[in-house]
Amino acid sequence: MSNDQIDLNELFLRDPLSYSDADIDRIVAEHRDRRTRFNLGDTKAGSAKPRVPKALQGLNDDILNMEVKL
Amino acid sequence: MTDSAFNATGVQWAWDSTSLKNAEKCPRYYQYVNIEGWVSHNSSVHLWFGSIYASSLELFHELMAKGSDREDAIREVVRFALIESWDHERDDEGNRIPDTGAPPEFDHNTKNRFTLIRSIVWYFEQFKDEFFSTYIKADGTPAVEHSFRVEVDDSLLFCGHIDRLCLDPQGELFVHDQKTTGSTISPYYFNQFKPDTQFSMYTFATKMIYSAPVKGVIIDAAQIAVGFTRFGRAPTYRTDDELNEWYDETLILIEQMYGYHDRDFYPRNPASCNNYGGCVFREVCSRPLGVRPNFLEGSFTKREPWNPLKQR
Repeated sequence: MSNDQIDLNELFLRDPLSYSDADIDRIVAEHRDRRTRFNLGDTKAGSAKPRVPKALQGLNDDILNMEVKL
Repeated sequence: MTDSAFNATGVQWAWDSTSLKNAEKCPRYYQYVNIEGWVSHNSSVHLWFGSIYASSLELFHELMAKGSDREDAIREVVRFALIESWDHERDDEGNRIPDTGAPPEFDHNTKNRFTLIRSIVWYFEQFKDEFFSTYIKADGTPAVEHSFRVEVDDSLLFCGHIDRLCLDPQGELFVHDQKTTGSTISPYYFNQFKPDTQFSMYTFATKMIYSAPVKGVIIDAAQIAVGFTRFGRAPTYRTDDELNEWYDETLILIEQMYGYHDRDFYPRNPASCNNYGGCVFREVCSRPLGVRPNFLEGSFTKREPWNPLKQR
């Protein structure tokens, strides 16, 4: 997950009464960017859950298994 | 205090399109929802999502009609939606208390706070080159969030809430309405809106109120999916003949409901049980009479019945 995505998720969890104009602009910009990516073919661009790259899928399980064995 | 849509004898005299559509669907459905107030546990997320979405877009058109800069309007609308979708605790005067509460939790995979904000921002991108202008009423205010009450025959009242009245580039007047759905937006999707009581009533009422040739309704539909929101826009037209036919049918429908009230019996309409994925009360109606109250209590919540006269 990118730092920007982490920051946006954390922003979304905050009380919206505390948002500055810049916070709102960040949310709007993020969603506009996702729409651009969706229109370019990334059909999951609008999803709230970021995709795990294929190279990393299952990696966590391998690491966990190694830890158990150790 | 909100007026009651039912008179002293218990019959409904103020009708909105929701009440009429429920009666059209099935008299028993109308009884459960409009008279007894049963609400499905799953219905709240759709009302929550659709209400904030429509209110947000109404606010945008109101701000733009008052001369706001487009980006400023979008910022204020997104702020509005973020706040509306957060359940703050309230003080004695009903004001939100900062640093309290949280977003409501619904067990729904497509309609949530994230997809709500996404859909609002993507809507403004989709319809960036808006060529419909908001109709300005005689008093100078924009025709958005317009609640109407129109007296008709038999001491009845037609009431409802219109998102917006707009003018197309040719100066033709339309009602503008927002819909959210999980279905794919296609010509087939828009076919369901004719014949349709909600949009016939909106066209009928606005023609009476404004004494103007309202052509019909412009429908903006948004498909809410997990990874995207997709949009479609289509008009639905109503001629005077079609509106007169709808009016006559509606008065007959209301008369039928009065008849059921007088008999204290609202029959089921089995032909509607399997429409649109199945009626929410199908499980209740399929049970023996004696156990139906138990199934109603178990699967539904009883609230104040839907009141068409409640101000939004």
